[in-house]
Amino acid sequence: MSTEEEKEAEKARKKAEKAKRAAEFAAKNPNGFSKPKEKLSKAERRAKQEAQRAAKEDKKIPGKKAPTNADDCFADGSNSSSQETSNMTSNNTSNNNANMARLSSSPQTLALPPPILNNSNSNRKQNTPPRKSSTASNLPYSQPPSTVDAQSLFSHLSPPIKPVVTKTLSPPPQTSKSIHPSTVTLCNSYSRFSITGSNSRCIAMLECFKKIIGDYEPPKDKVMSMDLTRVLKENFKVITESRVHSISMGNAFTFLKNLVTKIKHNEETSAAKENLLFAIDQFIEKTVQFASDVIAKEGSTKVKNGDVILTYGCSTSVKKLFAKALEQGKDFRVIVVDGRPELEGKEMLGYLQELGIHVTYVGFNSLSYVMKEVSLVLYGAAALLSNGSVVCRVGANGVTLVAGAYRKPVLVCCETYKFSKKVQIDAITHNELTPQPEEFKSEPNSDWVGVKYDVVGEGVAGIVTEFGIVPTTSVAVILREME
Amino acid sequence: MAALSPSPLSPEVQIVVADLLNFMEGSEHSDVALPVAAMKVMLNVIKRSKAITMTGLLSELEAAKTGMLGLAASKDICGFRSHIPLQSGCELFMRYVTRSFYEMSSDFELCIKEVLLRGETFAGMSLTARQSIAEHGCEFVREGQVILTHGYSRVVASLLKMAAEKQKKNFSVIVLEGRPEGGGARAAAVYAEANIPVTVVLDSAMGYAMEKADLVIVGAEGVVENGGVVNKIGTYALGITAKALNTPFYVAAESYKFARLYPLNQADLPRVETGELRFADTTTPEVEEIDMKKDLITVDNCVIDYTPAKYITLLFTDLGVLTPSAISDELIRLYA
Repeated sequence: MSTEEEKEAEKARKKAEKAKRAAEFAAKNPNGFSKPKEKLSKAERRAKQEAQRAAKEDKKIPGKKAPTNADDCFADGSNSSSQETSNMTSNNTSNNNANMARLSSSPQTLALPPPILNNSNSNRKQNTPPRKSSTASNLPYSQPPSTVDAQSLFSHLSPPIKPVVTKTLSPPPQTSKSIHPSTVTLCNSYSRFSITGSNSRCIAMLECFKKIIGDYEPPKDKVMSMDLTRVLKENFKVITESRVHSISMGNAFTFLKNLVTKIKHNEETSAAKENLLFAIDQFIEKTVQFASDVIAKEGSTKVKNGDVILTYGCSTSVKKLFAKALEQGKDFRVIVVDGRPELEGKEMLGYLQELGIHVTYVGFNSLSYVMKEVSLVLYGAAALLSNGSVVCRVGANGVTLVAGAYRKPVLVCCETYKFSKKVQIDAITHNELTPQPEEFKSEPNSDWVGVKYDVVGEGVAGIVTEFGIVPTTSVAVILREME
Repeated sequence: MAALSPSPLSPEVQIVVADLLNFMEGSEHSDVALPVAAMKVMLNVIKRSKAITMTGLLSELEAAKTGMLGLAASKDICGFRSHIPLQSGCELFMRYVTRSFYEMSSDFELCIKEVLLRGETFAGMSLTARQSIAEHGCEFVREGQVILTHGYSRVVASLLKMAAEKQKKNFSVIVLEGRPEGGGARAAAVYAEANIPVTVVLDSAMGYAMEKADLVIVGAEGVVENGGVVNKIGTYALGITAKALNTPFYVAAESYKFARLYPLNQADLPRVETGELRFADTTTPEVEEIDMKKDLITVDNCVIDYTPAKYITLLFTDLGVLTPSAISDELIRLYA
């Protein structure tokens, strides 16, 4: 067959090219890939190490340039200092040099840390000593650690996304041909926080992928499953750049990728696309929407006449649960607790008012005041981790703790597609930083730190899933059964 | 709740009810547990059934179950206990039938044959389950210990008897008298028969007696999904006291008592219709003269309570010795 012959010829050609390139490279670099090692003396090696360490330390301080030599690490940011400070720093530098000389000559003396510089350029508090000085590494003890300020605690997380308020849809900088316009629209919705909530974001993402798949045409020489996976991955990457994806979105995307890889070679394009679109629709209908209906039914059995239910923020399943309980003719009222600055509880408040349920709306600070009259606490989850921890909107952990202090049962509503194999014990290792609200004015000595998610380790009586109510210890079992 | 209307029962259900009463004859003194009797009744339903599809058969079994639960609610055949084990036993049996059906690749006739064949094993299930539990649990009873227990539980009794008779261990028992039906006195007689020294105390003495006890073993009416247990009133307080004094608290329960319930607190339990609580047999006879039917006086005869999983150290079941969190695993595996 001609295509096979073509393939053979192609292979041979590539092999020849590769050999040619290898020969060229060998001619240029007789040592191969490794560079000949420079022979440095011990002192030179030491100096080089210190310089590298200083550069690394300085990189951590935002807005600071790396010093050119080891001496400069004492003069923090003095490259861009004002007139007064430059005089002072130059004086201090000479002092410090003297200190350094003393230190290096007598390593056994217990030398004090170098004098603290008053630098108005870096956003640091007055009493913060400079970061570990690398030239004083021959001290017999280590420097006291710099105060752990909030920014450094969360410095491993990506910086918060500032919601872009533009009227026109701006495409992301490096657009390749595979980025679909609906992806761009989605990115804008995410970065402006106009779509929030794990269910809504997941469904919006899947709808976007449906459009991508609908418009996709495989190139002639490519295998559909691999090429489509590549396109979807590129689009997903762009989506995550606009805002970090939630676990629900991640699981849905994994599901989609698995479907795409199962497309057979000889399958007709339009048929394959139809099947994909149908499967995505089924996923949205069953795994996301129908699941929350079942959760509403299961959870509504826990609502009794005369109950006072407390909820935090807004959740799709909890809304459906209240509607179901009302349908069953139960007499209950709801207390909605809300958290700033997003104030998602307002959506729940409006929904309950429309249903005609008696609702009380309180701020987070009133929690201990209202908790004594509550009979049940309910809220939704963003994800459930395999050690039984619940990932939910920030503030829910506080609600759970206060509920525990008043011995009130806490139920969390979570669809099984949000279950994850990850394990997390605190809310710091993985989280999303929130942007500074407008009313917060930046001051030199104050920081804003806001996070999106909370991790509730204990205090939850049960998780309401479409399999019924399960204890938090059974998440791993359900994950196993789902496979 | 299960306050069924006194409407005339269909002939089929009447047979079911008669069957159950038959099996239950003198069951308090016999070794047949109520749920096992119910399962035997269900087997008879299958034998008599003329259904040709699984759906038809399941609806007949469902009707039988409702009939039996109605009987349990209206007439006090459960003694002072709840109908939870009856319900869980029926549901487990129906689940077993459905599973066999799927295992036999949906061949109805074959499935029925298999179920009836295996049916004989159900007859001895009470005894075999208790035997298995006793074997697992008696390892936890050591020489010279003092064991605290509550009322009369046949499972706990077989466990302690095995430890005394088969393993020849020397230990003593403190039993709470177990008002209102006074099961503690009956338990004392059974233990004395087995040459185990036993002390009977008031229910309210559980705090007082706990410091003498090395461990606590109780039975269960039902084991719920989160690993907690529903049992005779007083078990919850016993669990809390045991935890406060760092005493291990064990529950011995057969696997057919695993129920699909998820109580969040005491108020979340299914309400059981119980008899009147009387104040007879007090040391001050004037109490009997007091009129308890006045307007502002309510006498609440609650007979069961719910002990959350955090107070339970381990559960001895015929499936092995389980932690409370393993109960949910078992239920998910069975019903998922």
